[in-house]
Amino acid sequence: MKRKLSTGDRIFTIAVTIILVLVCLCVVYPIYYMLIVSISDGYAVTRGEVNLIPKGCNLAAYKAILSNKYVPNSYKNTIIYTVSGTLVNLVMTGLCAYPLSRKHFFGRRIFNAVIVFTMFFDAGIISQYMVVDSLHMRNTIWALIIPGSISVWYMMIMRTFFEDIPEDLFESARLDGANDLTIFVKVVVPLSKAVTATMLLFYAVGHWNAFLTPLIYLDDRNKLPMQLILRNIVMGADASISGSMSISSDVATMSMNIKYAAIFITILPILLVYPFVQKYFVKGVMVGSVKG
Amino acid sequence: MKKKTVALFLTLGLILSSVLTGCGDQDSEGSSTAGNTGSSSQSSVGGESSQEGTEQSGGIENDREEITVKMMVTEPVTQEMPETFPLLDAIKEKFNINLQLTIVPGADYGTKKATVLGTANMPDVVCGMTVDEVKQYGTSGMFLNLDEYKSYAPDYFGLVDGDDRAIETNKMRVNGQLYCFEKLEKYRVAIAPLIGIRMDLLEEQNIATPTTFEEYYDALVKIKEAHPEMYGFSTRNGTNYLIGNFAYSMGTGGFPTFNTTRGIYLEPNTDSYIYGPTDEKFTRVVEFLSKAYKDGILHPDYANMGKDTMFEKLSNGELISVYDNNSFISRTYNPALQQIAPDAYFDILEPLKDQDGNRRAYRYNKDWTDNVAVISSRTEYPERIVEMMNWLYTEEGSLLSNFGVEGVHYDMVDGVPTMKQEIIDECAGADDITSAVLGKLGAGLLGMAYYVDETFSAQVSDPIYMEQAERIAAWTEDGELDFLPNWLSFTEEEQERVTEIEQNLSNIFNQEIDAFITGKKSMDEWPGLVESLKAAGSEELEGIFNTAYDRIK
Repeated sequence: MKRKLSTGDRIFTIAVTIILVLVCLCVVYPIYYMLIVSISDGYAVTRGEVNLIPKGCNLAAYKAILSNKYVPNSYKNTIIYTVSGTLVNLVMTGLCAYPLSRKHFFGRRIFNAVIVFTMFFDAGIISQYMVVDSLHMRNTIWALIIPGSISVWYMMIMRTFFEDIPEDLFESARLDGANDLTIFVKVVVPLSKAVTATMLLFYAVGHWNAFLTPLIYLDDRNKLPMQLILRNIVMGADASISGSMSISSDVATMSMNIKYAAIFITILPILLVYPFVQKYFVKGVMVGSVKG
Repeated sequence: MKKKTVALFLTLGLILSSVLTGCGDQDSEGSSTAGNTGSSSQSSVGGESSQEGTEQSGGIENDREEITVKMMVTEPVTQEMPETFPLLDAIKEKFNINLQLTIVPGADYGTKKATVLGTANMPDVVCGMTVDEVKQYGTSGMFLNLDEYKSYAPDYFGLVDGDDRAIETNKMRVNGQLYCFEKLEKYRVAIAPLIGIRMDLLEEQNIATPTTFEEYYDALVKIKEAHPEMYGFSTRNGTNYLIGNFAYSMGTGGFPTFNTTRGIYLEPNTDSYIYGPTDEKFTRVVEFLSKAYKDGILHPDYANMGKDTMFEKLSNGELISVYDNNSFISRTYNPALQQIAPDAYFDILEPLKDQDGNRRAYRYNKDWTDNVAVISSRTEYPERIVEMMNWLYTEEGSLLSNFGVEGVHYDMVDGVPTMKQEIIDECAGADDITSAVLGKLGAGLLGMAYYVDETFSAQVSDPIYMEQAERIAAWTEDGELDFLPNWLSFTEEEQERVTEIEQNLSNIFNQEIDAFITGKKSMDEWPGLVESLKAAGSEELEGIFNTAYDRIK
């Protein structure tokens, strides 16, 4: 039976709904605006006539971006860096978090302290560059994957999650003859889908958006990820005055369209993946892991 | 527990031994490459033949060993930089140098440069440096001092030490030493930031083309009366940028040509540096802008207007005039405006007469100081690299680096290099035909040309753009347009003081100036601001600049 709401409840519900709708609009409108600008006529955009509905629909901006010969290759590179980088991240972070989550692990406090220290005190980009260079990783995929293979913050989240797994499960597994590696692979990992999915998303988004690391470590243009190539296209469209160079009206008026189309191309894959991973964020952490 | 402790120590031991092994490798590598601190690599066997600067440019015999030279270049955002192009083949053939390019996207070249320079990890040659960067790193000893290799670069030094360039070159020297190869102008399609005004509106209101600032202002007022929704002018980069647009033309100076931080400028009448805001004539600028704001001629949002917003206001017909590059006016603003008003157009005005009856305005620096090349002092082959760079300033090198190969990409027509039509046709449909063609050849200003010849740009540019270029060239000849001078070099002590004083002056000036323009403060209070600026060191700043200037004159 439906409960009758009091006047106060109704007002509260209406107020909350209005606020949430406004918040949603604040979040959705910029994305919607990007979309309509990216498919509108450049001159209409320049004159500020595109606000709610696209004008003079066309895909010229997307064509301009996708016709750049470096884009397909950079897209491929980004996918390779994201997939392999995230995989390494998950394995390394899990392998680091698991022993640190075990109370009987020798030197646990010291290791924790040393690892957390690196989170607060960074050696800086110059020394990192010199280390990567001296290890001959510069201009290789490893420069993008190895130095950042463990994020201490994410490792701590994972460690905390592992700590919450009931000790009974470990004891039970040991009684069945499992060693630490077996326990990790066959007990901990299957119970950690939620945190793994969260880490996967965080790491993947990080790799997908990686900009500074590939910029400084990669020299070969054919190895560059999409972000760098797209940024160059965006800056090209937004070209400022440089000596005697100037840009034609067509290019100048398309600058906003190209900028937004580039952003849309960049965020689209993550937008598509997110709904599938998002459910893990709200899922109960230990659902179904302990029975009886 | 005991087993775990043993396992832990074994693991730690393994890690430590790995680390030590790594260190050992590094050491052994270090010793094996001792004396090979540069990044050049020798790709042929045999000793290097003696090359003691005996060759003259253009007459170098290619009997030397093959070497590889690493060069970091930028791919400009507006022009492609290919992996291979005719100039690289010519360099291989002529100098037996494999020029290995590291091409970095132009949008983020600054970060890449900062990293390789900051880690002392620079390749043999770094292109696309700014003079400020050369000055910043020059004292560290990481760049090759070109003065010590003068005999290997007779063509370059012949140009930069010439009468028309010597003083500007001296300004680029760091502690008296020259570290960079500058991109020099051989032929340039003249360009200048000038006032562009809606000529259709002048005709509509039957107003003669303004020749003085008073006439310009009156014209804006009259048009505004007929079109109240319009504004006379605005700016796309803040108040100082706006001031810089007008100050020099009004007989004073400061914040010259799009420099929004420096209030000091070189006054040609006295051949000395003056801090503009404390100059008596500077009140003309502030009064002009203040009046314009009050009368609704200056756009009320001028202080916050960015490039895109100003472009919007020019495209939708909201602005009557604009101060910008003539190339932008003819190639960008007019076509956008004509989308809604086919007969509307901006045209540039001859520099307006100031209150003293003088005409003057800036055009850009004669050469390109924001795009120079430096050689690593640790390179193995300084002489050969300097020779190679010098060749780019010879007739042969200049033609190849600006037009490609004669007979293949261009022909000489009446002594003028003219790009072949089939080469141009290959890029038909490109947004910018000049960049598209030059991008394929790695040529031109944004390519590998160091003695830049823009004849091709002239060949394919719009007639109105070329007509404006001719007018600008004529005004330059008449002394109405002055090339923007390069900024001076200072000693370390001077530089420290200059930075400190300029920061203090900026803080005071930026805090106050909008209050005068918007009328929140009256001009009666201006002397108080001038006193504050003097107390903050404006006169000392002038002294430092003039001392540095005297050193290089």
